[in-house]
Amino acid sequence: MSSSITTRTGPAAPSRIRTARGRLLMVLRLHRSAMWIWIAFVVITAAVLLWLRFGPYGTAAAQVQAGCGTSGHRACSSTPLGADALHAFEYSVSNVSSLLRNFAPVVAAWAGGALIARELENGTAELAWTQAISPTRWLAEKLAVPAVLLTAGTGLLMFQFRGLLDWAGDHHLLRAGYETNDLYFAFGPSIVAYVLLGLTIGALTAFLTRGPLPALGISALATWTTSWVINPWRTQIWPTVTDTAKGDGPFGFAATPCEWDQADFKYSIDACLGAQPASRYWPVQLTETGFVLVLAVVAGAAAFWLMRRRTP
Amino acid sequence: MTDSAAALEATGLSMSYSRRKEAVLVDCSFRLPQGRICALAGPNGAGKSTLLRLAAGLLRPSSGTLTVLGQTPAEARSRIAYVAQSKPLPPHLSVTDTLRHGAELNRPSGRWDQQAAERIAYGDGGLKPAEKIRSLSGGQRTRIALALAFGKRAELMLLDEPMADLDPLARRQLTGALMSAATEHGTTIVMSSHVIAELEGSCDFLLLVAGGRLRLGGDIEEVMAAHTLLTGTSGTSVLDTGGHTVIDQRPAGRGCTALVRPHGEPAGDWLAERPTQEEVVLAHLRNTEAPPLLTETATPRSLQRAQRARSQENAA
Amino acid sequence: MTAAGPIQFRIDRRSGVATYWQIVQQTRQALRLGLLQPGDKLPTAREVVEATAINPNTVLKAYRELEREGLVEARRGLGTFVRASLGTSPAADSPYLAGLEDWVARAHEGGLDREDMAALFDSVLNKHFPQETP
Repeated sequence: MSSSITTRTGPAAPSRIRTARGRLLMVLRLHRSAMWIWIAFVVITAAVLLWLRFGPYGTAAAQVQAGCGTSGHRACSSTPLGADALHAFEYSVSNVSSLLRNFAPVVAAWAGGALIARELENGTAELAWTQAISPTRWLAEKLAVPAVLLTAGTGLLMFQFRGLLDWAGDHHLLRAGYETNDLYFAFGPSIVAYVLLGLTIGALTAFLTRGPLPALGISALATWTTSWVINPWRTQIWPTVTDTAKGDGPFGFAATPCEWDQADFKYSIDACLGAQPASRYWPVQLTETGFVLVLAVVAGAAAFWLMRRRTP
Repeated sequence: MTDSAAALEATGLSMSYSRRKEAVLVDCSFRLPQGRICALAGPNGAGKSTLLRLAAGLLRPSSGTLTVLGQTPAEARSRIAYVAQSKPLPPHLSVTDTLRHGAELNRPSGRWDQQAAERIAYGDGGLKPAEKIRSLSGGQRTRIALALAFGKRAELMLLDEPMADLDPLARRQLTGALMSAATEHGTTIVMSSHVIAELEGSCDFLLLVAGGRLRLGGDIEEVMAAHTLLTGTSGTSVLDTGGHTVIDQRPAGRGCTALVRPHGEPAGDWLAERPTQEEVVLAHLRNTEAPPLLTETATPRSLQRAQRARSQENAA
Repeated sequence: MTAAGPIQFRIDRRSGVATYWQIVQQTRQALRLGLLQPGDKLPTAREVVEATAINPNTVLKAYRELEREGLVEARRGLGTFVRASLGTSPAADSPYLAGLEDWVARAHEGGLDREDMAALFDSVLNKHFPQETP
C-alpha cells in the first residue's frame, strides 16, 4: 500500500519567525486568562503608582514638607502635628511596597498549579508530547513565554516604583528608620529575579507533587520562605561603615548605625539608618539578583531533570 | 517481504511503576507488522494502557526493548498518534481553537491535514465550532481527540479504548473513518478494548494481554486456525490429548468440550468445530497457565533468529 | 441508461458466514437481480470500509475472489468493474423446477416440515459444493 503523506500546511520548512509566532500564540491561547490578569495587574499597579505621585496624596504630602530644611524653616524630620497627608502618603507607599515584594509567591502558585501541574494531571501535557512536541521543548516554551511577560511587567513596575521613591526622597516625604532603609535597598532588579524564581520553583514543585493544589501551596510557601531567609542578609554581607558623614545614606539620611535605643523605633529621631551608604545600592542589588537568578536556574534545571526521568 | 521495520517490536518488555508494586507488564515480546489493524485485548488492568503509553514514548520501560517503526518511541514521536483513555483536551478552548492548537503542535513535523481533522470533528454535524471543550459530552470529546489524531497523518495510531463513549452510529462512523485511513494510507492502527466483540470485523491482528503477559499474538485468521473446539461424545470424560495443547476444558452434559491447539488429528470420537474469536479469547483468559501463542509474523526478529539457531542446533 | 449508485453491502457479523464471502454473495445477488450490470463500477475498498467499518483486507479478498470467478475485473488506477452477468432468476418453466416441486410435495406428505426439508437440502448442497473454509 502506498504511504504517501500529503503535506497540507505551507512550505515543508516553515520560516522560523512564523514558527516562533505560532508557538507564542499557542502558549498564550492556553493561558489566556492568566495573561489578561497579569496585564491588568501591571496596568492597575502602574496607574496607582502614577496616582500616588501626581494625585492628591503625593501633592498634599509634598506641600506639607515644602521648603523644609532651608533657612528660616523647620527641619524636615520634625513634622508638625496633624500632618495627616504625610502619614497617608507614607502608609500608601508602604502598602504598595508590600504588594510588590509579595507577589512572587502568587506567581509561583500560578506556575505550579495552573501552568504545569494541571496539565500534567488532566493529560494535556501528554497530548502535546504525543503531537510532535518533545517534553523538553514543551517545558522550555511553557517557561519562556511567562518569563518574558513577567520580566517586562515587573521591570516596568520596578522602574516606576524607584522613580516614586526617588521623588519622595527628594521631597523629604520619607522618614528615617529601618523600614525606609529596607525600602531603599530591597527594590530593583532583585524583585524581577524573585518573580522568575517563583516561576521555576512552581515548575519544579509541579513535578514533585501530585496534583495542582499541593503544587500551588508548596511552591508559594517555598518562594516566600526563600525571600524571607535572604532578606536580612541583603545588607549584612557587606562591611559596615565607620565614618559618620551625614547625607551619604539612603534618601539623603546618615549612614551611621543607630544607637541602641534609637533602633527600637520604627522611625528614628536623628535620621540615622543601618550603616550602608547609598552608593552601595547597585552592589547590593546586583549581588542579590545574581544569587536569586542562580537559584532560579537550579530550580529550573531540576524541573527539566525530573521531567526527563519519567518521560523519554 | 523486504526487511521493512515493524510498526511495533518488543523484546522482553517489562514495566513496573515502583519497585514495591507488582509489575504491570512482564517479559512481553511480539512484533506487529505495518499496515495491520490490531486489536489489543485483555481484561481491565491487564497492562494494555501501559503498553500503549510505552509505545507512545510517555514511559520508560523497566527492562527490555521496544521499537516503533524502527526507531525508539521518542524518536518516532512525529510519526505516531496517541489518544489516551481519558481523551485529554484543553477544557477552556473552543473546538476551532483546539484544532488550531493541534495544527500548531504539529508544526515542527510539518504535516497536518486540517481537512481530515475537520471531517472527523464536524462529521455528524452535531458540533458547533465555538463550543467549549468542557461543555462537550464524552462522545463528542472522543470525536475531537480522534480528529487531532487523524489530522496528524501518523503512520501508527495508538488508541486506548477509543469506542468507549460512543453511541452505535458514532462508533460505526469513526471505525469506518479509521478503516478508510488504513485503506488510503496504509496506517497501522492499534485499538485497545476490554470488549472483544467491539473489535471483531475491523481488526485483522490480535494481541491478547492478561495479567501483564502476552497470551496470543498474530494475524487473527492464523490464530483462530490454530485452535479447534472439540466436543467429546458421551463416555469420554477426560480428553485424550494425544499431543494437543488443551487451553480450556469444561464439562458438557455427559461429556466435555475443550478448546485445544491441535497437533494432528484428535484421537477418539470428537466433534471438531471452529471456535469463535470470543471463545478463543475467553478460554485463554480463564486458563492463566495456558502456553502463549505467537504466530511467526508476530515473533520479533531477534527471537526468530534465536529459534532458528536453536532448531539448527537440535538438527545438528 | 441511468448511472449506477454505489451498491450497499450489508454485513451480518453474527451469521457465521465469513465477511468476505458475504460480499461475494451479495455482489452475485446484485448481478442476478440486475442491480449491477457489466461496465458498472464497484465501490472502492475505501468506500466500502468507510460505510461498513470492516477491515479493508476483507474487501480486497472478496474482490479478488470475484475476479477469480471472472465476474469483475480490476483496471489499474480506475477501479473494479463488472465484467460478466449472471443468469437472471430461473424462468418459471425451468426443467428443474418441476422435479423440485414434486419432491417438496412428497416430503410434505411424508411428514417433513419446512425446517427439516431445508436442512436436508442444505446437507445435500454441502456435499456437492463443499464450502470454502474462510
